[in-house]
Amino acid sequence: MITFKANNPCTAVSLFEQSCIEKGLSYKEGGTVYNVISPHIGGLPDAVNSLYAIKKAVFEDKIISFTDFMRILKNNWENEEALRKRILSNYTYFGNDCDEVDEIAVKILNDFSDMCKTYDEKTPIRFVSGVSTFGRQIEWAPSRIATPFGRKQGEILSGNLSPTPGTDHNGAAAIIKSYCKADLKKQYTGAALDIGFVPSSIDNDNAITAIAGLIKGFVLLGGHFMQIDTVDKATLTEAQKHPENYQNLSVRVSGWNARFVTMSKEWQDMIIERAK
Amino acid sequence: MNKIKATIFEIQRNSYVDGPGIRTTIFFKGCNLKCKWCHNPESQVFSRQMMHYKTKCTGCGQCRQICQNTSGSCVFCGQCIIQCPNEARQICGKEYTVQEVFEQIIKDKIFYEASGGGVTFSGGECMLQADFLEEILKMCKEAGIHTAVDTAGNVPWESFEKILPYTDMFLYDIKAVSENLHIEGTSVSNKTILSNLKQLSDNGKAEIVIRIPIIPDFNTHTGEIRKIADFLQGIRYKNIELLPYHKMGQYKYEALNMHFNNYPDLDKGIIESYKKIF
Repeated sequence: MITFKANNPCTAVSLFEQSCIEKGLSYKEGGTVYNVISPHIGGLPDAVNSLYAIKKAVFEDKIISFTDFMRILKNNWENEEALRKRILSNYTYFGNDCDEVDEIAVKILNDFSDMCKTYDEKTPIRFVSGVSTFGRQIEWAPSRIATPFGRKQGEILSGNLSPTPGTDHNGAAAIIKSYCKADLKKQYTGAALDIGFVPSSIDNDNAITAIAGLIKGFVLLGGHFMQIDTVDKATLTEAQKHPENYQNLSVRVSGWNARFVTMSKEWQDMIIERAK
Repeated sequence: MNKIKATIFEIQRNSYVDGPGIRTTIFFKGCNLKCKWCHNPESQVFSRQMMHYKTKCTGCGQCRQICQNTSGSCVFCGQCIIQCPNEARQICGKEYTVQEVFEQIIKDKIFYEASGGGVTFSGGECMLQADFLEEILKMCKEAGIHTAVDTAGNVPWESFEKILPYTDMFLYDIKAVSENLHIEGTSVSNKTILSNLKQLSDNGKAEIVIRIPIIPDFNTHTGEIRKIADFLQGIRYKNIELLPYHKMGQYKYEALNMHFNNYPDLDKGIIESYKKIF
């Protein structure tokens, strides 16, 4: 059960939030009308892709038994390169507007918000779900085990609710459609989606119209948190090698922008991995 | 239910370069021009083809081991593709019914409406499969989707008449107006192409966008672009797109064991200078 914490009163927040002063209670003591604690999940697209790969490879196509599959993952795909590439390239994963995969995402998101709901409204603190990683996928990467959809131990996986890098092939409209299939209203505190464009793919007048259309379509489909970035892998790789030439290169990280050259190598690698 | 089928080699969603707004572009297989600079060599023949990307192949031989076919000609069972650990093999071309293509197109309707986009039928030469094209265009129009047809125009005028009621826009390619030059570059005369464009301009209501590929050593000589501009004086068109020659299709020639014609690189400034002509 969630309880209030009086020993960490969040003084500055309490000063600026409505009704804390009137009630004489700090933010964490329930001073505000609405007080929110929100667990966020990360790595959802990886979980979806993993379950889908097991469903297809083990149960439908029967190319490997579940026991053997788990042993191979434990060994980080060692000596199983052919199988790894086959599973990685022959199935369609989250972010391609494929209902069969996207339904798994919908189910996990619904289950997660329903679970949170059982704790919600039992105290003045709202307990609601959301989705984000906001860069934490970098911290998580070293402890990641190999995944059933062909990623090896320690690889950076998906950021926020965006497709795992390298698994989306149908463009931004399909990513948005996959993302919007879930009832995102249930993710009260946001479910972030990152969309990246290669600059050369949008250097015409029509592309501006098209991106405006993507944003409109996103909203119409029920999306509520999207960040758009445009930078190509080659430029980023160059900037990593020669930071002196790219002092002003700004990239969208996740809810905020940062100067690329000021980021640590791990963070730069994540941004490079995400770019196509 | 209509059982008519077309061979299509790619359905590209989220395209920003084949007409206005966000579009889904349907690439039909088969063409009756043989442009020496063609960047989609897999679009030229009508039948399916096995593509083998040599730079990805490690020569492991797993594809040969799995192949059950003894007749010598590929039956496109796809086993070698599943077996290949390097994504080095790919079947180009798949048969679709009108309904199957429509199901792909309708997926992005919300984005067409939000961006003033729609569907574009391209190729290859989509107008060589005019009956199929007529059916799918009709379905799209009934669903309120903006339709564009990307064509080289080398088909009987009757084919245009079939699709005119359901086509909002033509993306019409002009490579050269000098007939001998056209034959040299594409292996066919441009008589039908130019007369169809004139008819379309005089009699049709559809918008026309002229597309001119700028090919070094082909139409960059002897004032050819100016001759095209002169011809277009008498044509009703919305705008002109100059498409710079590029070599991004080279790897596909290798994958199909076809000869790649290496034209010189394009001087980027030349596009800007040509823009002033129109």
